[in-house]
Amino acid sequence: MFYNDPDEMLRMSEHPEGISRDGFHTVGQRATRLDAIKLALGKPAFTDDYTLPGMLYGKLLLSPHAHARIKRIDASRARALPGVHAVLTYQDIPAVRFTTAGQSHPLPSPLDTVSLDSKVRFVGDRVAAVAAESLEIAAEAIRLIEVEYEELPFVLEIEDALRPDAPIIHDEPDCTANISGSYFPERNIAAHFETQAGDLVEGFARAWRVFEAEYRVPQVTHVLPEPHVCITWWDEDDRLVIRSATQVPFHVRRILGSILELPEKRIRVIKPRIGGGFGGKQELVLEDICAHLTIATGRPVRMAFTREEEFIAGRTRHPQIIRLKTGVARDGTLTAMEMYILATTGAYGSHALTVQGNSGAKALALYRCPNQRFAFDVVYTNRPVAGAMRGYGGPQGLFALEVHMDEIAAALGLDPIEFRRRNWVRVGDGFPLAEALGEGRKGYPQPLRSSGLSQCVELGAKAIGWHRRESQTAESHSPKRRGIGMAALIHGSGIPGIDMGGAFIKINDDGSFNLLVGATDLGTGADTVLAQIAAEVLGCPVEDIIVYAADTDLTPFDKGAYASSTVFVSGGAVKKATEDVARQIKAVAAQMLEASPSDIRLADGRVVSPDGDSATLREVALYALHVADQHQIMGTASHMSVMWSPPFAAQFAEVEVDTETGEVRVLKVVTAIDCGQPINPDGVEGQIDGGVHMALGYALSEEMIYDQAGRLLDGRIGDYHIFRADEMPSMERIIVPTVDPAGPFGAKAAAEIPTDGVAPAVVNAIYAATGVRLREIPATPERVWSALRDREQ
Amino acid sequence: MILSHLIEYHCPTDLNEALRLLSRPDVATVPLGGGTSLVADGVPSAQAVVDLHNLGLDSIEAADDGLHIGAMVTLQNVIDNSHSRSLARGFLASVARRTTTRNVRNAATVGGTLVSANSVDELLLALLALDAQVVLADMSSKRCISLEDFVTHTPAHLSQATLILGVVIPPLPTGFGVGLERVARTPADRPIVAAAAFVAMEQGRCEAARLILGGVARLPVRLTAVETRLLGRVFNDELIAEAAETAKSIVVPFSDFRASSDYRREMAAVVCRRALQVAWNQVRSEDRG
Amino acid sequence: MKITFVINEETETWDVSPDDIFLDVLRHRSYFGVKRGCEDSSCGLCTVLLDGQAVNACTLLAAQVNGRSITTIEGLGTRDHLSPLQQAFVECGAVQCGYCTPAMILAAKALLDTCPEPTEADVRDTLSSVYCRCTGYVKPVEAVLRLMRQHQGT
Repeated sequence: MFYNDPDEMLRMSEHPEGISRDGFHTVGQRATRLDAIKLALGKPAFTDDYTLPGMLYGKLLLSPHAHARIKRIDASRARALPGVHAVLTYQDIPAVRFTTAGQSHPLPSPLDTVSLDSKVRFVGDRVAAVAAESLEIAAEAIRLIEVEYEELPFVLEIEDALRPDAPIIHDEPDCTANISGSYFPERNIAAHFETQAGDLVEGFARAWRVFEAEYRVPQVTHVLPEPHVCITWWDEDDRLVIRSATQVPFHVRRILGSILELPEKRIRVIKPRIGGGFGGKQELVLEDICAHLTIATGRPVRMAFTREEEFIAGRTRHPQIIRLKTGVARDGTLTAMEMYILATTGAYGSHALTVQGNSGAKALALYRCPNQRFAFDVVYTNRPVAGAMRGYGGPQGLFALEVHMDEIAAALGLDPIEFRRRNWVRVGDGFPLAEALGEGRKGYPQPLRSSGLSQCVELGAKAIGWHRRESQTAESHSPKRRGIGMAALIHGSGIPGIDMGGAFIKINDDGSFNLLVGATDLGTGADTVLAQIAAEVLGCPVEDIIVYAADTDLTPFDKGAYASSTVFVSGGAVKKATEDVARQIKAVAAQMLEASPSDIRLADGRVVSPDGDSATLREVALYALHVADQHQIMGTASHMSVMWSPPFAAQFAEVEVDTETGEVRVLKVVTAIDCGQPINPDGVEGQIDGGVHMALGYALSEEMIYDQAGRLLDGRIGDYHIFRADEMPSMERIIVPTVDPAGPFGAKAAAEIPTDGVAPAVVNAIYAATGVRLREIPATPERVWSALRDREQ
Repeated sequence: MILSHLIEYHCPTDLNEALRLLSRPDVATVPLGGGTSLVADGVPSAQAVVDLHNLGLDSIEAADDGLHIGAMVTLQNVIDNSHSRSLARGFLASVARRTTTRNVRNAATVGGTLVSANSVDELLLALLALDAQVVLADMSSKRCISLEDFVTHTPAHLSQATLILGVVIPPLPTGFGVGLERVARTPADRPIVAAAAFVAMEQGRCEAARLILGGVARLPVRLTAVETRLLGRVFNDELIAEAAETAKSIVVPFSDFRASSDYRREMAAVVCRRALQVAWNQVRSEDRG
Repeated sequence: MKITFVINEETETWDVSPDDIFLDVLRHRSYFGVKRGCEDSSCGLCTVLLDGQAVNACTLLAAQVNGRSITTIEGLGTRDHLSPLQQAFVECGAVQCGYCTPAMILAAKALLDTCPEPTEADVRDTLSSVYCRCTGYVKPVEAVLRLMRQHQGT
């Protein structure tokens, strides 16, 4: 009952008996990825590297209109085409409301989606689905479907969605939301939220100066290396099997159960290797319609997005308009802070409430401020759908906050670091809004128990050469100006009080272990980290842990890979399950070595008694499985944390701005991160590298741009452009280890925070270089050039 | 996918056979170079392709009338070949290198660059600045026209069954300079606008000038009005600035997702000025060197 | 139509259609190491070596391969004998999701086979053919450079 009591959790996170106190043997060491070899060999590990006898190819007809009613749809010619096995329209399958967002029960995103509808709401929305014997036949069948549309007025811009005369995007009566008081589709509001702590009036009254500004961040997309893909089939027990590139196999099973009106026991979801997710695969983007095609045909069906389809029918990062109002006392401390976000979720409300909630949860938790107000409205527009994307609201909220803080520092004549230092949270501080921001339910208080922020800033500043800031005056003749900027950052480790992961581990005859987890490594190296945690407890080599993940039939539940939770939450479960196994091994070893279990040590793949007697784990396994008191040494555990144990980071950027063209070139990015105890430093570095890469695009170039009819203009990789190997800045990463009492071996998350701070650091560096402050990203040449020109005029 | 009507593939070893296949009235036939553009974009009506791979159009040869670069020479060949690598002090090769990625350069051909005629294809701008000539062949004759003429009237030149055999870059005069400048969202992104400049000086005066601007219209634009103003003049910063302003005054660019028309106009001046400056600096440093 | 060509040092004859894309044919024949990421030569995930040069199989007609030589990732190492580049990628932590790894390794192989001592700029130029959303290219570049240095050392 007091399982999640912080003190209890702290105790649970201490080293188990038998582990040497003078250091870890595996944790903190650079571990080679367990999965790297098969991937370097190009083995068929991914969803699509697989075929079944009789497999059909599914394809979607996507809407050419931003908003339209289907007046007439005639699939007869498509159905008559030889090789076509099914054509589905809204007339053929039940209209069950769901959300594509894969989250815990009860789903916090509005239930506003059906698999196929009589109305389309964005260019790229589903109209019909085909299953045929080849992709070519499926494509031909798609062309043969006749659709007559009644085009409806549509809305693309965030502010326009709230106008009284705006077209209503979800006018159907059965759209609902589980979170009461949050959902107003009759006003195009997919999620509304407001809360406050302290006394805003008093806070602003006490302020010496008050600053207000509005910031804008664009809609961007994951550009997943592996586009969405799944294969569905009936197995010999007439159970529906879904092989899918998903970050959330258990949520997919549960949500599919309701969509297909099948009990979960008749659905099995298998997650093979995933070619990148970044949140884009925390969604049911194809599984439901693929399953419908299997049900319609009785045949295995494979569906995959082309790159073009991925751009418009995949998922995106919520664009936001963020208004900040901040009161500052004479001593440079914050007296009050108000944050209002107006965002759009596109045509469907996937992650609408929780992404925007997280923007506030992250931005408002970074600095001490007793009086805070946070509110947001997330509107429907006729754009491609937003959803989860690495950072999950953090990049938006922290962009606004960290540019805002920089502006205030400049106005007060304070060094940007010094101003932040006077305000950032310290160990022991609480977060006033923690209980209000519980993702649709009451949250838990969050007294801060570890922070390496101060060291991150100090070491990062040194690495970038912060002291050079003042001396970076322009050479008189060159139009190029250099500047250095920074951002301080906070993120979370899992969703406190909600996220749960399970683990199962058993010993094999040879002393190796099978570790079965529901956690879904999406390319981050999480499987290796979980193996390291188990190996640390067992005193065995990492290679002796065989990780299998994930399969809803075989592995324990795990919420899936999101919210930077795998190491912290799933790792906690692995540690507990493995500690149970360690206890059982010691009990067997005590019999074998005639010693007391509490005196047995596990080290170097052996059990060792105090007088030096030892046996190998293989001998222990054989003894337990075959010799005496026969039993399977195995352990299971679940883990959930009520603490959000935030990682901290500081990111610095040096830029060169061409003042004639507005081009910004990032010369160097430094990331200093406090992720608690790093389990695999190699993996932490990899997370930083990838996060910085994605964030460079957010800062400088990536932006989904539409024509007046709502058609995406830059929906090809060559047009959208993501950073290439030959244009990356110099990158430096610094790991600042701390120990968080709630994390396994003191670990906190590292996955998302590197994506949060590059954009504000770059924009602050542009200011340092030119004196021009952008409040909108990406900092494209034209945007920067316009700002420079406006200042001159 | 968009080659869905393709029913024939030919890979002739003889030019006449290739031209014959292309001239068939009853089978819609298109020539295939590296495929990076044709296969990527597709030609829905094409029923047959003629792969030009075995026609021997992949050589680079220096001759009295200039450097001959075959149509099937890949962009990477332009970088690696000793003749093209050193052409115009490495100008052509360095531009080819930043035009696209290595994989695409290994397949994409010089002929394809001409046919695609992308207005921000920097290799195309560079070839135009170097006054490249295009060698064409049809069933009856071989002819040589200016690349500028070819790019401006491509459909007319290719209307009969005609193949591009290659380009010829005429010998460069002494005292020349070249420059190519661009504006882009990121260093490796396609340019928003780009300008290629060629100048030749004799005794301090401009003998020849070519200024090509990309990213302001569907096709690259040769700014002859600006070139005329430079001829016979002694270069200095003021003259270059004046030329750039002229460039700006005569272009009416389009808008797209990369940038607005206004921004393109302003940048036209910047890249023209910079490209001319680079070219002029090159002349001066050669003089000193 | 039939094409006869060498794939991973074996001569093969395959039946293909004029409109077949080589990427589709390879995957259809279980060469799953070549990945699909786009349809227009912009991501490089389908890199194969054509006569030793890295090209994108998504804009290559199967017919074009007739009479030529192809190397795919399946033609490099095995679990017990990884090729030097595979070994370097594994050891340097250059493999994250792994979807672009075969393409990066093949592109790098083509470079090292023709230019044993490339500069970092050469390595970056080569790897720029393959887009990656996980690594920021940091560790893949390190892997190639480290292998090159090892070769120089021996």
